[in-house]
Amino acid sequence: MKKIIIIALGAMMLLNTSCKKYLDINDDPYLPQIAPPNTYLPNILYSVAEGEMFDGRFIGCYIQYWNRTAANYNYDRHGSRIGQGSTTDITQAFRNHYWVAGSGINEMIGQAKKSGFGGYEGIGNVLKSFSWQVVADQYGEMTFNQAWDNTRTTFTYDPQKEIYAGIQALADNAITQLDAGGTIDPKLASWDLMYNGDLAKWKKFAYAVKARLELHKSNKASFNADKVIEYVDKSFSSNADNAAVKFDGTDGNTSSFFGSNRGNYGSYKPGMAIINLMNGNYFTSVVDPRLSLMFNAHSDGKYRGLAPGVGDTATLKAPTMYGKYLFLNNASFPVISYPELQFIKAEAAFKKPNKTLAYSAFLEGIKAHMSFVGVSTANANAYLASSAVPQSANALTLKDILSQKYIALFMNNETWSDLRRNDYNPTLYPTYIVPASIKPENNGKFVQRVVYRQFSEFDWNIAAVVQQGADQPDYHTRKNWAFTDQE
Amino acid sequence: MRKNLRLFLVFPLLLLVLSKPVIAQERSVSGTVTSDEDGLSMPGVSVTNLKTNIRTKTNDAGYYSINATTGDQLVFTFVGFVEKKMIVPASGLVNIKLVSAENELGNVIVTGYGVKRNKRELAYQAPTVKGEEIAQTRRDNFLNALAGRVPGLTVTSSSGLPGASSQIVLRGATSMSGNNQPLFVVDGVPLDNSGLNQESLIAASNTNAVGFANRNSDYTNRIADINPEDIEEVVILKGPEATALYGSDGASGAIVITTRKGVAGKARVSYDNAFRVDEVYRFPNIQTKFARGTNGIYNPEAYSTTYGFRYFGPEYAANTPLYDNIQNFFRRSFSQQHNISLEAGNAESSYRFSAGYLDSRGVVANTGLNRLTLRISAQTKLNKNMKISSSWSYILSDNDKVPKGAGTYYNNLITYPKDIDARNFVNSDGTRKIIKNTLDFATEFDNPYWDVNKNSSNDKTNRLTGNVNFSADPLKWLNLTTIIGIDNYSTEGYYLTHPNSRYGFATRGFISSYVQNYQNLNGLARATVKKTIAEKFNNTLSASFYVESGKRSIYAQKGEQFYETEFISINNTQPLTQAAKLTRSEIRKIRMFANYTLGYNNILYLNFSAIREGNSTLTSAFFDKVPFFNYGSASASFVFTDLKGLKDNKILNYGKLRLSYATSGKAPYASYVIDPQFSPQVTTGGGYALGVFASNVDLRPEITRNFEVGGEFQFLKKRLSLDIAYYNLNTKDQIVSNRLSYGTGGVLKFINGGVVENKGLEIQLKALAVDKKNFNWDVTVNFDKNRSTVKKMPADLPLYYDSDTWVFGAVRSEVSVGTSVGNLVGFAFRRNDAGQLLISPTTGLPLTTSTYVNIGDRTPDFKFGIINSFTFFENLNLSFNLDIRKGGVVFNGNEAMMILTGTSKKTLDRLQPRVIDGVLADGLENSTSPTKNNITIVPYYRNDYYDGAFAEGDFAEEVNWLRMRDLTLSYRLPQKWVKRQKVFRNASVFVTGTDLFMITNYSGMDPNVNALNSSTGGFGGSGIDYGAIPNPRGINFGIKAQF
Repeated sequence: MKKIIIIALGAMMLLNTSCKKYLDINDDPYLPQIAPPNTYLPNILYSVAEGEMFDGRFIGCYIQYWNRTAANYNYDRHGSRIGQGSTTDITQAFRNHYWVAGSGINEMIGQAKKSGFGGYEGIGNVLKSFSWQVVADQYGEMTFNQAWDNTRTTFTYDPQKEIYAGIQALADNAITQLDAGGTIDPKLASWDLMYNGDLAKWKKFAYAVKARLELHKSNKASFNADKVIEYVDKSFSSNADNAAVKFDGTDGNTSSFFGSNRGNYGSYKPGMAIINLMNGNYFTSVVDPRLSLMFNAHSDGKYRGLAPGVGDTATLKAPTMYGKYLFLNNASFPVISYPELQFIKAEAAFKKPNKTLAYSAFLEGIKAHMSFVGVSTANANAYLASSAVPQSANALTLKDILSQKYIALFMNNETWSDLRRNDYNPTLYPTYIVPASIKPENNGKFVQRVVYRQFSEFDWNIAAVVQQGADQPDYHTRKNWAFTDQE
Repeated sequence: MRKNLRLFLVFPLLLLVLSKPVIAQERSVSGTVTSDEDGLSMPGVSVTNLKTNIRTKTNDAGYYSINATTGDQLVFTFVGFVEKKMIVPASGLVNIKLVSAENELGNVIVTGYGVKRNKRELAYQAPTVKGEEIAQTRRDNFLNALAGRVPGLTVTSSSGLPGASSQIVLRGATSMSGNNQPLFVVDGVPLDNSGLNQESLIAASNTNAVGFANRNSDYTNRIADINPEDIEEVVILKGPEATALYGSDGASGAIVITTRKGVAGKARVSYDNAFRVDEVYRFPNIQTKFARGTNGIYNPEAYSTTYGFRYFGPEYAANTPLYDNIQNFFRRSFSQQHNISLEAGNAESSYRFSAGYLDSRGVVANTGLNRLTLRISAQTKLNKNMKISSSWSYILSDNDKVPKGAGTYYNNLITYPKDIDARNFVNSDGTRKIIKNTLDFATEFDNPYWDVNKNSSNDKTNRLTGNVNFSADPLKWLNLTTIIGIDNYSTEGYYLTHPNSRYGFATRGFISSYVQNYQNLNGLARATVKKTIAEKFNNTLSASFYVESGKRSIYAQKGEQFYETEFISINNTQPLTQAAKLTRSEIRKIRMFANYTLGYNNILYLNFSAIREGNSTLTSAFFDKVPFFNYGSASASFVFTDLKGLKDNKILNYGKLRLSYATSGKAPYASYVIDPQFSPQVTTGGGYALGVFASNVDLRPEITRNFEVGGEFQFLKKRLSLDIAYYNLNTKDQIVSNRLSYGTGGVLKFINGGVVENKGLEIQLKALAVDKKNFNWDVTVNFDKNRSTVKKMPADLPLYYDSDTWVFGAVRSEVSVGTSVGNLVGFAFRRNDAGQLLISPTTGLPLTTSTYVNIGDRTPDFKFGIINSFTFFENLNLSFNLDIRKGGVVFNGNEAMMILTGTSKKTLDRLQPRVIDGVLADGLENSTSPTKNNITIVPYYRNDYYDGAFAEGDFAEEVNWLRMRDLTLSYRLPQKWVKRQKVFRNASVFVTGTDLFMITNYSGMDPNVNALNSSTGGFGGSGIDYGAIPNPRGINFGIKAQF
């Protein structure tokens, strides 16, 4: 009997092991559960850009790069998502940051380490620091320390100050890692659609992020203009260095979010604020040579924009934005550009104050953007010599720098950070239009931040949302730490 | 039903009662012997007069004649059937029904993988439905015929079109997000019942074009491939034992189908047909007074981009010709089916071959289902101790479909201008006719005729299923059984949107095509030892090993920019727009069972089972994870009426008490959720990105605890029987694919947690109400009541919702602590602290919030199914099935849309001034004296009233219904007529009506619809009425004949 039991038990154990082997097939043969690091990179790049471009539809209304064709649009009136918007408004960068981009970067770095490849960690951390910068400026407080902790189901928000320090550290790590080099994956060059595996350019991107962050602290007593200038100087040296995300534009999927194939900007038309800055309205009778390259004219040959909240009517004759500049299916989108960095340098030098340095960076910024848009040197020089541009370092004002930056960053949400940092100051932004009907819940205040994503935070992490006060109707008018004078 | 009652004991008993003592007199007794299984006449049956020992046999027609004296005893014997004794009555025919030995006691049912068990032993409610009852409803999808016939069974069809999927739930939904549908087992082998999950398809490249979220098309639930004519019997296992028998697969119950087998005797051919006419008889009530416009001003372009044209203009001019587009649109459809079967056999072997052809046309143009089913089954005794049986089916199904849901023909029909004839839908150049003054086809929804004529879709399925069942009894006390099963199908389908269509314009045409391959191989080996100790203790011990491998792959493609506008093929698309995607899932399962039954003197039975199960969905490619988990059951059945003293009671003839408890584990229902999952990208540069699911290496099996107590009672000479069951089912550690904060790095994640409790009561009452020579009345009443409550949420998350159910406004299926699994939520209005409605001081309309509130529970309070069967003069039978439901919310999305667009008759009083009851949100709303709303609105001049005055909860209706599901009148030609000719042995004619009428308080068309399809997990889209056409009324007529 004993023998039988022993044999039976032995057989059972054997069966268990062989059964386990039989069952061990939970690995999709047609979809990787791990993939080589290079394969993550294209979609990380796409996601980082798409988050910005998607949210730009709404943030662009705050900036007044464009306004909605329907009257009384929530975002034209500085409203928030919970005021009147739809649940997914201005939340794409947030979504991409944690999900496809963030998780993709983590996986890419992990897989690269396993394969012993250098470079990826540095690239990943540059992109991560950039993505953090974008979302932290949108939201202020966010889940930073607990981010990507898959074992958690609730998350707390960390102060923006802590996040800023974290981003600087990430960018610094990235620089160290890029310097370290290591064995380079032969596939990197062809899969890196931004810099073709040129690690030196990635390092410049890291410094660009650092420069932006440092400039954002311009209202603080601890603001360090020298650091900003140092970072800019270590960063991009021409438009060729731009952190530009490419789009093939062959069909809807591969087209730019701004392109007509995607159909995302049909309900928006140029903002009166940017058009007036370029069509000779504000700079009296100086028509910016970039105007016709960046915008469509109406069939009557005139360039017009919409005022916020007013909406479009046939009599306004405002043209569509498709087909010009970045509104092309295959136009690359620079998330940070060389002209922007020159304007960052100009502002830092201006505040240092070193007007001479500021002036040269200012002029370089304009020239670089003219060349980016495709303006001929002759036309560019004519503009530079016009009354729209101060003709000496001493004549330079902060308004000049910010106005030119406003034009040069057309379509980039970074301008919203500038506006908020400068309190939407009408002297610095002379064409900016105060909406006739700011949303009542704003109590007369301008929009300062984004409300957290419904499907992520309001639905599944409500405790943190409530603690943050983000469920309050005027939450979006609360200033971000970065843009205040708080240390 | 009748046959069930006429158990072999009952029948002679009744005859004994009827046969009053009369004077003995020798005469020639005659009659026909038929089989209990199929009612067919049985040739070759031995008939012996025990007194005189005269013996004869029945002829080919099952007819016999023998000399006997009143009071003599006749015995009828036939191999494989229980012998039957009969006292010769004074006069009249002696017709006999023999019961197959397998069905002895009429009480033997199939439970586990091919295991037959005596009902006495069963400690759980296991109602049965005869195949005949199902077949006579003539429904394409046999699941729809089960509604009302069994307590605790809920069937919801997605729409009234051929090939529509039906969702079936036993007892209640236990899983918040997983599959709540039962396992289907046919002849001991599990068969797949899934539809197609659209998430495997590729959406269009433009976000304004076609997307896939299980909403815009329906896919047949594949168990509907079974030809109802091949079903012998269906056993519904709902309780704890279903899991003890089928492991985790049976956690939501099991539907065990036994198919028809050949019966011994001379070859027999049966043929039947049915011709059906279907028509829609409930139409949306739309107003025909007010024209298109805004605020009382005529504007033919007044339009909502979500719902279509809006009718807030002035009244139509007196002489405006109006068209009844809705009536015109639906057609009276004609369908037919033909079934033929051939069977024969002897005592050792038998076979049956059947072929069924169905051509079902829908009430909407271009919808239909063609189905051919071929089935062959054979069984033979290899020798004294060995038996082998096998059956194989081949099914060919071809389903023509039209789009479904928001923005498709049904909604567009409702909002189509009444002053325009919708039948003119094509311009002379073949392009789509649009009403609005625009060239942009995307700005107007498709004309309903255009939609069903130009946006076609189709699924073609080839399916082969089969099984081989081998059984040997090497020793008297030992049985060895092996069952091998195969289920293999391939579906080829497409979904097309014409370049001129609303959703096809942005992509200049869109076609999505796919091939779904499914293959399931399974095998069972079982050893059963039976030993009786001390004559009274019956011991049955069995050990089984079950193994299953299921593979599913979906090859999906899409293309855009058609070269030729009307040509249907992926080859007709621009190559750069083409994309491919392959989705695959493979799940393997292993189960080791040990079952032990101890029977004492046929009175008390104790059952125990222990199961160890392993499931591949629990394993990881990177970590060592144990795929095994254990569970078990214990139950008792006690036939107390067999105790001394209670035996032979005049009133209570049979009484049994049951008690059972089982636990069950359930592995993740989806494969590849333990490790991270990547999906290919179609954006510039391609590559991979993390899929929506975050990984979870800690995922554990979910645990169900299932308790059932009940009893069966038979009264008054067994003319009345009652079966009651109360159950409590508690699921903990539920596996839920939950959305979480993106902080996890993913969007969704399979997590454990949460407790759902289901409690309920189920009663089945059967009565032979009248039993007269020329009139019989059988009635069955089914009652059930189920309450499901979410006791705890996974990870204490605030809620869980299913985004697929989000088809109208903010309404969605969402659960949280304290709600039912069938809970619906929607946006509410703002209220002050005292609960009064807050009204905007500027508009006079309520202020909305984006806060979700519960708007209703879709679970009915209770349901009744009443089945009546009347038989007159043996030949004429009338039976019908009434389905009654009390309570349970249905969201009337159609009505909500009709109010918003001004098509509802409820908007006819728009000239009536009104003030919405509430207080103004003027800052005083929470003071002691809030300002009462005094803003008068005349909706005729302010149609924003209809946008703002109703909350979504206002369209959640508590629904009661009484529905005539099926009604059949059949007439069997009298034997004396049949005998006059040689061709037929038996013939009958019948008329069957399906869904003939419904009495309901529901204001919409049909509350029994599903806004999604049966692929959606959790409670799914049932109880959300939006964009699905109602079940039509059908009349079948046909003949049945045997040769």
